[in-house]
Amino acid sequence: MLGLVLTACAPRAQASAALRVENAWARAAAIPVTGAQAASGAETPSDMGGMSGGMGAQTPPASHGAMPGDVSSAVYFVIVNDGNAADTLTGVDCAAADRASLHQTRIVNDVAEMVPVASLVIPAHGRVEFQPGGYHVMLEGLKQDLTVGETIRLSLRFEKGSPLVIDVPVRQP
Amino acid sequence: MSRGVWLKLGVILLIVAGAGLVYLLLAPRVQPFPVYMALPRVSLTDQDGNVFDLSQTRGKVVVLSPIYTHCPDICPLITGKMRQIQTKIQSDGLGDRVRLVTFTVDPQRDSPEVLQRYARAYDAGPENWTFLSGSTDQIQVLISALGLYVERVYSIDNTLVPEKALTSPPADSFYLVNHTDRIFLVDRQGRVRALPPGSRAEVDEVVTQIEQLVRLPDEE
Repeated sequence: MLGLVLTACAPRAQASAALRVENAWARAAAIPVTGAQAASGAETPSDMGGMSGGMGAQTPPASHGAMPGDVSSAVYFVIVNDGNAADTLTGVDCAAADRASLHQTRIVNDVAEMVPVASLVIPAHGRVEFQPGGYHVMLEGLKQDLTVGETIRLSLRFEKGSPLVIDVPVRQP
Repeated sequence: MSRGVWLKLGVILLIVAGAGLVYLLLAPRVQPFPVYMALPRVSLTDQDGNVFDLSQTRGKVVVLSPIYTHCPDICPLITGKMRQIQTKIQSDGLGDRVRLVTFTVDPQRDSPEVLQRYARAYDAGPENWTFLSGSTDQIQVLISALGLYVERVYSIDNTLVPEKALTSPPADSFYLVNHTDRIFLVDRQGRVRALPPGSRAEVDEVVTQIEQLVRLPDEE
């Protein structure tokens, strides 16, 4: 019984033997201090990758500025499939944001457009790169600051394989 | 002279003419710098809350980039390129002859304070890099003058819906902004002379163009 409990509580490791993730990183972002927080003396964390400031109280009424709940960021990585069969990435979960979704940036006639990606095939013995200007995980409505040096946990869901859970380091934007 | 000699002379002349033509086609030429458009006269607000009229930039070469701070992917690339450009022009001793200007295409969310945080996050040196916001109308003046495509897309039920497809945009919904991915290089007289491709720009090429614009005589 004790063994079962310990197993259940152990950190989830890479569950899909054929799939692995390399070079993951998330872009630093900070939720702005609201006027109420600033007035009450709440402080912005000291290491925000340069995004501290605590200036929310000075936001003029004509522009509400970024408010908690609508700050976004992105996560990048490389998915490597060492197996003999292709698998399909079907979604992503991240507790650090209201929503995490697969997106692709496309440049069409010099206009940058964001396109939702429903699923993405990871070919057998192949790799798919998520990188700035291409595929990325969009984190929408951050619940916490993404601070340089810290990590956030991300879970990648696949059609066949078990979810891959990764701890993603936060880097400078 | 015999007919054979004339024939040889003719062949030599053809070869020389051909070589000349190839040289003309392949020889490096000075960047032409057409005039695309002029910066409009509009007063905006900088990251410190001060009024900033674009006419203040006259006399300096301006590197102008449109962004919005909620942009998760492309704008960080654009601003990263601008940071590299700033570093190179500083090291080339052109820091006082060039001004970088980043302006938001999303003034509703990007107040001067938000832009100030954004500038700090990118270590943007304030000595010659200004971040501008303003009212929706003021920003629209700049968007129109530069011919920018700017369109909100709302995140609704895990899909992205363009604003034009909505009868009334949902209040408090998160939105992204599809926008033109360009950097605008402006001469000392306020005229746009080159359009590097924003997030895809080669920094060394852009800096070369900036250096050429710095040296360009006023009348050209």
